[in-house]
Amino acid sequence: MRILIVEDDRLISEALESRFKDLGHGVDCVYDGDVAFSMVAHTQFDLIILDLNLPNKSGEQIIKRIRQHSNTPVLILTARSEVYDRIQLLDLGADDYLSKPFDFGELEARCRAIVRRRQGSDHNDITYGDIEFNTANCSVKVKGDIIELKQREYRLLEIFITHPNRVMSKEEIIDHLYGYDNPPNINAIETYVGRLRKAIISSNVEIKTLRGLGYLFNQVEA
Amino acid sequence: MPQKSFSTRSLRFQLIFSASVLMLLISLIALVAVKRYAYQTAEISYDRYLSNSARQIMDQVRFNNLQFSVDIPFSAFKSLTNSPRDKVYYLVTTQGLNYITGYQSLLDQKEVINTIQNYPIKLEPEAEFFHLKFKGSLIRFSIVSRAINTSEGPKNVFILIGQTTESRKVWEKELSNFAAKLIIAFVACALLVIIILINKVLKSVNTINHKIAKRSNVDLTPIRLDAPQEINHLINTINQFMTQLDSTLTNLKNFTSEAAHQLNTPLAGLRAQLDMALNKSKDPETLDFLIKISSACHLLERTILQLLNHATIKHRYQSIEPEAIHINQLVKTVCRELAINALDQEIELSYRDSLQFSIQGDEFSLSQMLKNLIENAIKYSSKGGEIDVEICQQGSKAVLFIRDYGPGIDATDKPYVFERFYRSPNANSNGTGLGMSIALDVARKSNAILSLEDSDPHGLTVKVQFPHKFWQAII
Repeated sequence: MRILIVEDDRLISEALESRFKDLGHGVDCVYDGDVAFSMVAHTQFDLIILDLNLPNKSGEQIIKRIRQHSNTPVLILTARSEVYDRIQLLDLGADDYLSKPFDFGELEARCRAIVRRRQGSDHNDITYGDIEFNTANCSVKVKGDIIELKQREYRLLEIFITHPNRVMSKEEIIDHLYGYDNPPNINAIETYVGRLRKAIISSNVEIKTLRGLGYLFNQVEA
Repeated sequence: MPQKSFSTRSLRFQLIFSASVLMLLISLIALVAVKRYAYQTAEISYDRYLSNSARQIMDQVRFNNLQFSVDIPFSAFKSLTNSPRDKVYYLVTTQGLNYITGYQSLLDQKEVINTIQNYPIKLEPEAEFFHLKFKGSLIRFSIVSRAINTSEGPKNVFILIGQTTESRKVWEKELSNFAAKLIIAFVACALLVIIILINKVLKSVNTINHKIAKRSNVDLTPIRLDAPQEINHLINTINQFMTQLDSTLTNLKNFTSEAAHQLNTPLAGLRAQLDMALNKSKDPETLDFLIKISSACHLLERTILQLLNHATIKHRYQSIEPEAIHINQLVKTVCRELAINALDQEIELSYRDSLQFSIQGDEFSLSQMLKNLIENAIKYSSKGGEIDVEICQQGSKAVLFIRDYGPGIDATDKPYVFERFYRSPNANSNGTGLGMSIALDVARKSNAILSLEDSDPHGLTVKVQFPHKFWQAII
């Protein structure tokens, strides 16, 4: 992957560069808003990590510029803490944001997630743990073996696998699962989850029930 | 209740009280003066009748055949007959106290004798007056004298005429009553005018008061009001203060956001470099140091975050209008956010409710309170533990319980939990010591009561109670 890091703080920038280079990615570092502004218009990157507070041009201006040219995934780094800032950023077209200071592990996970999300529209395979989910031919593999799922269970797994590491409430699942004309039954969800849980029992992924809160699709540590 | 001092009572009370006392004093003085005036007026006019009568009698005193004779003219008593209930006494006598005519027993009175003997003999005699207790009633006497030529030379003849005082008293009373009525009417009118004026003056003060009271506590725009000059000064001063407060709040907000940026950027650099070092270091001793630095760095990050959050919360409470917050939704959202973190530490979070309610508050602050409380519960839970979050109604209160089954807190430590930078001796991980004090602050500002109880069989239960008038059930 080719990654652009736009960050004027050398300490952070250096560490990010070294980390991503170690992971085998191609990394370009830019420390100035103006340079970044012209660079994003000419070069195609796979991921842009962007700091908001930059000399000469603000992060907001750069995102706008990026969105005029491409749909490259953008992860924002922000030191500001106000909530409306973040909402504004997502509205502008950033894919995700991370507040400084951040944890490297989390940064990597977020980067992977937004890149996968962008690729998801191009590629048909989504992998989580040892589950392979193919949207093109509607097949699901656990440890390489195809498992049979009914339509509802397949749709349910799709919801879970596209929202990993998030507690999904029953209401949210219903919103995704049913159309407006189909009267939802909140208890039916439990049945479907039960069936799905049985179907993927051999995988290293579990669907955890959190009483009163919802379900969590979670990879079990070996 | 402490006694209110006069100067702290309402301005209306003070003004009306002072005006009333002053008017009362003035009317008392006026009444005394009027009484005195009425008495003197009555005295002068009745005395004039008496002296006139005495003079008329005096004109009729003759010296014939070696003795005095008086032909009492009827007209002498005419002017005295307007007071039908009064009795009239008279006496005509010589300087040597030789009785001529009238009430002889008057000559037995010491006072009469004294007056006669002390009477100044003048060419043009003047009437004198005195009071005398005679035959059981008080009598006003007039005395005149005249020198009459006799064969033995000029001799002084004295004429005394007296009248009981009933009618002059009645007249005096009528006079003073009339004046008193006038005074009372005048004072009443004056008081009425004063009260109207006081109300008019205080009206503009009350208008400002209403205007300020009606405002939300985040509105710091200047007050606009056309008021008298003196009141305008007050308004200007208030407006100046509000402008100052507004700029202080703005500065606080800017400071918070600048501090966030200025503190978090180098901290992120530190964290990034540290992570890189941790990743690359092979030497176990160095690694050990790095891990220690990393945990100190983590604590620093948490502390800065909490301090900035607290500043933001304080600022928001003074600058953001409270809105209706669905507490159940908010609690569930926060629980879902924290559940993953808890699961990583093998702690399970559960939620149930038997009541749906909302309150007026600030979402950011309330979610910070909930986050701190639940994170705290996670922190003190042991591996494989559970945390129960419950919303229910108890009596008239809506209550949120956050129960953990960790070691709990000793009763002696409970009062200190909400103190800034307090850390429980049972803490098995580093805390900032700010979470609970922020939670308490938000609870107070949201009209909620935050208290600590023991869980069954052990552990801590945080109870957040919303009193009756501050929550609204959602059906």
